[in-house]
Amino acid sequence: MTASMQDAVDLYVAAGSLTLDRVCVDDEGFRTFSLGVRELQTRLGEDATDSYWRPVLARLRRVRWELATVPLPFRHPAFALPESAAFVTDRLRDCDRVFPAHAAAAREIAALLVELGDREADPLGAAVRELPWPGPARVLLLRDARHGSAVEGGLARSLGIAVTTPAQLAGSRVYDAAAVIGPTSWFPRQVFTAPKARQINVVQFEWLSDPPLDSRIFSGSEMGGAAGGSALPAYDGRPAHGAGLASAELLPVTDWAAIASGTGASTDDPEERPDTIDAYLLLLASEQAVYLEAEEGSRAYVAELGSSKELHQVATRSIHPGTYVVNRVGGEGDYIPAIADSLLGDEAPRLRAAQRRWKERLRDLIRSAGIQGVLSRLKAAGAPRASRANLRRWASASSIRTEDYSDFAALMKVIGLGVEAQELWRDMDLIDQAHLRAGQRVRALLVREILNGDTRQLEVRGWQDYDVEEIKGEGSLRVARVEARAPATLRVGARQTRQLLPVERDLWQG
Amino acid sequence: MNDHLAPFGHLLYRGRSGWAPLPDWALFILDAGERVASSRPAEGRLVVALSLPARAFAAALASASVVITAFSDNPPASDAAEHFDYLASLPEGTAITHHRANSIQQGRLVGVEVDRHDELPRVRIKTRKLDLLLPVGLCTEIQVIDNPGTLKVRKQKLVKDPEFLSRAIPGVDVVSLSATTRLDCVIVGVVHSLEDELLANQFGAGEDEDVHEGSLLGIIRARDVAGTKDAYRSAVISASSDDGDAPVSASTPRVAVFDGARAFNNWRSRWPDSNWLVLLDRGSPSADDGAAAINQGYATRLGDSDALAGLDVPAGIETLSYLERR
Repeated sequence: MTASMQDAVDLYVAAGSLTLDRVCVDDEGFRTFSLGVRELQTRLGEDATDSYWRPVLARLRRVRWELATVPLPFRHPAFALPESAAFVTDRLRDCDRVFPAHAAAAREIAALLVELGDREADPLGAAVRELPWPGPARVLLLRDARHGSAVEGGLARSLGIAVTTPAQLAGSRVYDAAAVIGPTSWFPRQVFTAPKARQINVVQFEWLSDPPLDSRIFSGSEMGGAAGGSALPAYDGRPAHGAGLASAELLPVTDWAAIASGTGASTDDPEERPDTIDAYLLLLASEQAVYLEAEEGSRAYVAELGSSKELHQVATRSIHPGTYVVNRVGGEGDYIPAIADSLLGDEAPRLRAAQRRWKERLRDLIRSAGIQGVLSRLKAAGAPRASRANLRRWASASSIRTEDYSDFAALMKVIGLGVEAQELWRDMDLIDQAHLRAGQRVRALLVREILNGDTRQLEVRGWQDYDVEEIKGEGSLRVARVEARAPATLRVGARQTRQLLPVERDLWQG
Repeated sequence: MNDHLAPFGHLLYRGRSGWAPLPDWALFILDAGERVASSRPAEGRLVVALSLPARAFAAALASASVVITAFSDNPPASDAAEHFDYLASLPEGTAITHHRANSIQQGRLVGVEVDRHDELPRVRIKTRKLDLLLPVGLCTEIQVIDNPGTLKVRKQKLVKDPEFLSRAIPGVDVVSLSATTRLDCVIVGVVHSLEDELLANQFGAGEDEDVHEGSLLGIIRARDVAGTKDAYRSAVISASSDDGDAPVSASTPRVAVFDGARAFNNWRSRWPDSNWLVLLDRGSPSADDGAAAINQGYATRLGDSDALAGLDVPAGIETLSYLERR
């Protein structure tokens, strides 16, 4: 729904009159644990990357992150600290023998974790309760949605406070006051520079530093009004009684290498087998991963739920965190071919068999003659667009046929199907048309459910399944927010793309 | 208070408690639109970038100001001779509209004739009931229809909200504004959001109990919005489309308004000879992408600009202006 002029007026008033303050809290036990995690990492040095320590450190970091970002008592079941303590203790069982030099430090951190799990202390929650809350429109902003419902039940509901995440603040609603849990650097800058509340209190542990917050995004610019309510000076995070930690140090580190190997990808496969492709790896709010083809021309539907809702089909290379991608649940691979097959009806098996037949022949030829050898044959056969990239695309499962018949005819000739070229071209055209219609149906669905529908649930949880009549029997579509994207492309099997793959939580949040 | 554009001095918006004067930020955006539209740098183009706490209505208000500034600077009447030559160059049968007072009807161009008595050239048109010969001075009543489809034979109201428009933009010839086509402004952004804002009857003009409601579309006159084929002064283009339609893409509007980072990053190279007004919503995750492009342009600027000098920038708005090589 488009914002009204009054909505816009409210947003400008909030930005122009924002009161932004920092409220610091402490807990000696948690501070000792947090600094202890860093000390252990420092002590381990290169050993920290050893497979013995990686899962331990990942779990310790995850615990530290959750306790610093979620305003609930340490012993709240949402943290599952006893389970984490047992996990760590168990992993360190033979530390005396394997890494004797680090055993004492490891035992110490495990003991601290056990102690934390027994404590009722709730420093962040207590601070939230004590905040002045002017007006009835109150919101508590969490860095992650994962513990949102626990915070709502354990703290916020009784205070009449809504619980939300930065992604959900995209609409035009303006609150009287907000509490942000954690230093400003853990949140997108727009939380403070395009505020959705007239008063924001940043509630954080006092031993966490925070860089200065500047609302300007242009260099050499002029900012209207006073220096800007959206500004907050740097905080050094060094309490009188101890050392501090840089807030950036606590941020979750995604173990991309482990996620890649756990999902069948390779970062260092020098051999370009024809059944593998380059792909982008995305982590989704549904705690899943998905690979999207990186080859030129690969596109996917994305939705943006900001101050205005947008729906586009974009190049996969331009999909970034914060946008919502569409994937299929309950079936293999992409949803478009599945819907297209449904539209093709009884003809689908014959047409797909024809498609597989020429693709397999082409891949076999590439395997035996090499890419360069096939390219030479294609050029000799009169393919005007024969290139390394095009040949890879033509051999991939995601492409149906060439753009131009002359390339297709040459392909069929070199793989020994020259006499069937015209018939195969017509068959591939039928598949192509069905894909086009399938795309139109998906778009119509997304327009109805996302552009014109109520997306609050999607924004709260970060993902939502849409099971609709048009694609009945083909599984539902999952629209999920992209949380992170691997820094480099990976080599994966062509059939692995567009499939939702489970990801271990410690690999994501370690 | 800034000395904001006089034509919008009586514009109101519908607030929680009824009609209210436009807030400072809206007046500032109108002023910014006027400054960008009236600036004619001797060299290069003017780039004005605003970072805003919300995107709503900013592009619509800025574009309204651009259209009215361009119209006031160069009203259609002054183009009469040029327009006559243009009509004379068109083939017989070209679909046209003819407007007079507050009515408009469609018809066909017949051609140019020289009167035997006074030897003055006149353009002949035919509508359903009329056969007209118009001299050069009145030829601006004729406008060519870009995409005629089936011609309507009935007379229509030319100005949909005349009471609103005459009060919202006093001193502007709203009949001429509504009847003539010239692309002074392109607005690139999310089309459905922009159209909603152009069509929203959230604005009013008048005093006390005599306030007339209307939308910004009557001022902005965006091409093909709301399914009309009326005369236009601006066009809305999708930020995510690969290409606009040919007349718009190939034109040189006085100002290109980019509503958001995607609009700017996808389309900024399209109108090198126009001034640019870039509006970035700081609440959007993509604002930093747009800011990066602006900062790069600023780092390699042709020169500084004082286009916004003298304007009080309201709290929450960040401004940057500079000249860039074409």
